[in-house]
Amino acid sequence: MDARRLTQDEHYARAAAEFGPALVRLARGYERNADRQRDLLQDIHFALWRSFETYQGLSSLRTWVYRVAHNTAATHVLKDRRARTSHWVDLDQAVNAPDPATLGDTHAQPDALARLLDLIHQLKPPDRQVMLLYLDGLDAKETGEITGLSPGAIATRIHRAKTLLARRFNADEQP
Amino acid sequence: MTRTPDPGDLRSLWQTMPTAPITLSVEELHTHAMKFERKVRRRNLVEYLASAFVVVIFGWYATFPIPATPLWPIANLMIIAGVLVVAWNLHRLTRASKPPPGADAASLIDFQRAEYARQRNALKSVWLWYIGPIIPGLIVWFIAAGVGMPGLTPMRAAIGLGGTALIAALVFGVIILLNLLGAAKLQRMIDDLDRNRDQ
Repeated sequence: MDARRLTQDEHYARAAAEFGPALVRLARGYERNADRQRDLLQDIHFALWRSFETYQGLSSLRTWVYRVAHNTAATHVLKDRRARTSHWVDLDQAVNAPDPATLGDTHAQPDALARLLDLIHQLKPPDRQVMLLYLDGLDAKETGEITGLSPGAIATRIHRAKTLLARRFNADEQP
Repeated sequence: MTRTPDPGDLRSLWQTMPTAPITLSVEELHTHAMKFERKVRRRNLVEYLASAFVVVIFGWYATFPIPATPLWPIANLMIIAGVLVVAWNLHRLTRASKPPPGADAASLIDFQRAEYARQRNALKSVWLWYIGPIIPGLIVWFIAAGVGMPGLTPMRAAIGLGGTALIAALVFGVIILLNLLGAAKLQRMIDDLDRNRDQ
């Protein structure tokens, strides 16, 4: 279907139907609080709808949706005065930090998904984006188009993300 | 405690997490748009009301017969002009924090870097756009109060006004210092992004 022929509302409806679950996961990756998560998700949908006013189909719908959604979520995080930015770490620091689950931390989550979310929320926004895109199954090229990072930087970050996941979850590294 | 319920495939765990996707109806989108515009209008209204309050107060001061010097109304009018410039700057800078729809698709790093840089520049130049416009009016205001106040010896006037000016300078100094510290933190975040990009 020619992307330019669709109206703004049709573009939005198609994107919401196709990427709805991905947008929920993204909102969960950026916001811990359930109420604010719902607000963020609505803001992402609204930003998406507004963005289709200028969408000309020059980039793929998938890349466009992820860019707009991540930009909206990153703005949300950066503007949130409650966010404990001093506690954020980059992937390198996270790889070398001890796992709370092995330190007898009573707040450590036994559930793998909750632990994964906890780990994601600790990451600085640029690294969090790469981690979320990796987990969502986007390849290095798409991640580069979305984030603006060079191929070398993407390769390094994905490698660190895999190492971090392997260390924290005792899982085999995925190709 | 089982550490890895689905060993080797955290991506699958992530992608299959239970979600409740939403789709906003056209009505909801338009309501959201109206709410957003209303919020912007309300914020602008608060800025205009605050400015109007200052204009009224200093306009009222300007009509006082004491201090008895033509500098007094001029000083008050200069402060009013300064406050209007500050209000305009606040309006301009806050408005810039919302990127136009076309910018939504900028790459994330470019977008965040531009956002950090914009905030850093605003904080670094706070002396110019927030404090600077008020200073000339304030200086003339102090001079007018010093020379036009009846029954004060030059020494007492100098001490009183000097003390007040010192307090004002300290307050401005603290504002500038806090903003410079904020700008330095943002610069570190920009350096961080640049390192990420180059790695």
